[in-house]
Amino acid sequence: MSGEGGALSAAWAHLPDYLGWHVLLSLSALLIGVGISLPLALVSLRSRTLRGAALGFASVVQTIPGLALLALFYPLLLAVSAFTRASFGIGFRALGFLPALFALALYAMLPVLRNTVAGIENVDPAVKRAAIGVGMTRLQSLRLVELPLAAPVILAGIRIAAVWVIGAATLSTPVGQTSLGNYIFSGLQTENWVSVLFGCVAAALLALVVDRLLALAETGLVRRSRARFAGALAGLVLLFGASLVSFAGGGVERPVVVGTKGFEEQYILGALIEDRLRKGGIPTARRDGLGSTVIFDALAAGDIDVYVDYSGTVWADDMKRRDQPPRQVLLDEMCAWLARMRGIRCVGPLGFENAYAFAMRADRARALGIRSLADLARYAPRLKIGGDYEIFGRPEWRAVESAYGLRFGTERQYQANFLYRAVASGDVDVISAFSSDGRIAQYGLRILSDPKRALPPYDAVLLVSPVHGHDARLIAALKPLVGAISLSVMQRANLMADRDIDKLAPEAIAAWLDASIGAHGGRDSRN
Amino acid sequence: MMIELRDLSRAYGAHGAVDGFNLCIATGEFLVLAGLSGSGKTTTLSMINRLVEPTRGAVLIDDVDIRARDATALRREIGFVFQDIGLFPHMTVAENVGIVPRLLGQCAGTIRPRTDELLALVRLEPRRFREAYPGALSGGERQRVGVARALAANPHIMLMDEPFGAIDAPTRDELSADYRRIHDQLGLTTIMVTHDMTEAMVLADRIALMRAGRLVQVGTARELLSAPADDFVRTMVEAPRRRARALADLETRRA
Repeated sequence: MSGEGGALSAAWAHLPDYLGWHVLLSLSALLIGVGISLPLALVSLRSRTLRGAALGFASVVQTIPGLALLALFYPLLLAVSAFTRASFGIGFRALGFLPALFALALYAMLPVLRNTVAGIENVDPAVKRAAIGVGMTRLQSLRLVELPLAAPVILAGIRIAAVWVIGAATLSTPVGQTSLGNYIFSGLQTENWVSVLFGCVAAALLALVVDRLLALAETGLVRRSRARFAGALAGLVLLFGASLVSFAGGGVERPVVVGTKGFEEQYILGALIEDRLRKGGIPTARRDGLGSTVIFDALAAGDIDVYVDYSGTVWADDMKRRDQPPRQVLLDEMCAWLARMRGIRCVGPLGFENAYAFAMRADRARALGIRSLADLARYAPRLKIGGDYEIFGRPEWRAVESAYGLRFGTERQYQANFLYRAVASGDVDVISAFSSDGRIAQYGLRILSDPKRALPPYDAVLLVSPVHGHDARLIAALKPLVGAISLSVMQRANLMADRDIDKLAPEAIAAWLDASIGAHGGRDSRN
Repeated sequence: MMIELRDLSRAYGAHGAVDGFNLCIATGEFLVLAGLSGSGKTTTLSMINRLVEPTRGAVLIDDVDIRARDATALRREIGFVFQDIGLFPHMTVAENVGIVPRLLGQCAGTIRPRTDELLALVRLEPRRFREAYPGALSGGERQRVGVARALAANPHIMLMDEPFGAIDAPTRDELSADYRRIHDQLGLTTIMVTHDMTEAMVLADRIALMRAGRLVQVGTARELLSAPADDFVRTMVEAPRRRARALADLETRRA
């Protein structure tokens, strides 16, 4: 009970920040979406080809899953930013607000386009004929007759767009834009259902309020009541203004942005880093739940400033290396490459590895006599494997597949929490796992050995953006974390977040972690 | 304003094709275009204010080919009353009536008294109707507003496309009589389309009878009755009289 109450009050505390961003983002996107599609619809009334193209484009956009659409805008904006920086010396932040804004604006287009075109086409032809007959020009007919008559239909389209955009704006969290989606994404990762529900309800209420205000504007138009229309408009402006005011308290110094990928270990480490920086007097901000390629590019571009990555991931994804040097050699080469190619500063390894590994229930492995990935190959065609959303597309998986000739009967993908339950319940036989995960011990799983060393080492490494690479105060605040976290400590920390009962929030675990590092004596290096 | 239709033709049209229509309409004349539906009456009318462009031939107003005129400016000078009324449903009666003066850039102070004057002319009490929306009016009242709107910019020519077709008979008689009075009072030149021969014969100075896009005969009601050009004309012009006779028979039998 007290756990739920705590989660609720924690959620409340974030509300002004999350809701403010959500309102600012979705209303701006709606404004841009309407601003583009309304004139586009009017122009396309005169050309069947243009109308077909515009509606077709908007429909295709609508079929792209929201999450993918938002994510696609990041590399696009990154490229544009790199181009403008090279050509005019002006770059911009490609992460966060802009990709979310553009993607959502595109999302808002279809209903506005469709309703505007339909609304105007459905104006009584006798009335249109009369408009031309009394001597109106095409433009006068549009302005004085067709638009006012189609206005209720157009506004109905804007209402649909508003509800869609407010809903889809929750998906902007993974591209680094704070929104009500932060409740949902972090809640899903940490199985904090109160937080997930809180985010959903808040977004739904916001959608409802905006929809009601627009409905008021609509009846104002239909009944030609200026008071209603003005009231609705005032309500929207007030909402927008309030969202701006909620940021007015922000400090002058640009905070150091701590990034995290979307799983518990990253949230815990993110909280730990933030805590250390704050104790060092450095203001911080967070960008949580970023995709693993997005986060690396974001660091290189300076959109975020600090995060923890894993050496094997950088080695395979970004350096495109396929060879497997020993752990320390790989680490050294990686840091040299990061500094040379991207200007990224390696502060150092944290001390533990979070490697890709494959795990089975210990009893089942024993029964089949499987100890290693080599043993697994023989049984694979009859077995089911479960993986997270990334693994089957990653080079590590291809390396393991080809090294051991693995061909599984069935491949399934799960969200991390369900992955462990799936193997424990026998829904799948083998899962992709992470070596620092506390649930391996909890569920009685056995990690299969990798005799051919197909999987690279995955040291957790603290990386700092080019902008802050020589920021002595920042580096000094982070240095004590280097080599301070052992695998067993990290496994225990992860289990605190993953266990089904008595789970702790990332901040609480970070505090525990901080205390256990303190015992190792990194603390006094700040002085 | 003298209107001349010279070999006026339209190869195809939503309201029927027109083929080689020649006619002069004198200033102050009330001409009725009559004929079966689809005979090209509305198409002919629409070519006079360039709502439809001819595929051959020309319309001349006071000897000037209207193709030399800006279509929009021309339409603002010619009153047009539409078959399906065509009032703007989102505008009040006053706004509907004042629309052409507004398009011509007249100021609100001028438009308002003019609107009241026009409403009075079509016998609608300005105070009662000024702020009403078309949806709240009866069919007859709406068409009175339609006539007032067409008259707003002091046109010399009025084009009327079956203006009273959709209105019940007693109201229609009253409306057409009222309009004839306005026509005479303001010295208008009117061309009205109808398929109601009784209305045509009662109202018109001359009737132009059309069939399948061609002008068959033009003349006063008396001329058409006494010397019909062919059987079609005879059937058309005798229809009102036949109906009157049938009614009279009914009454004698009842008596």
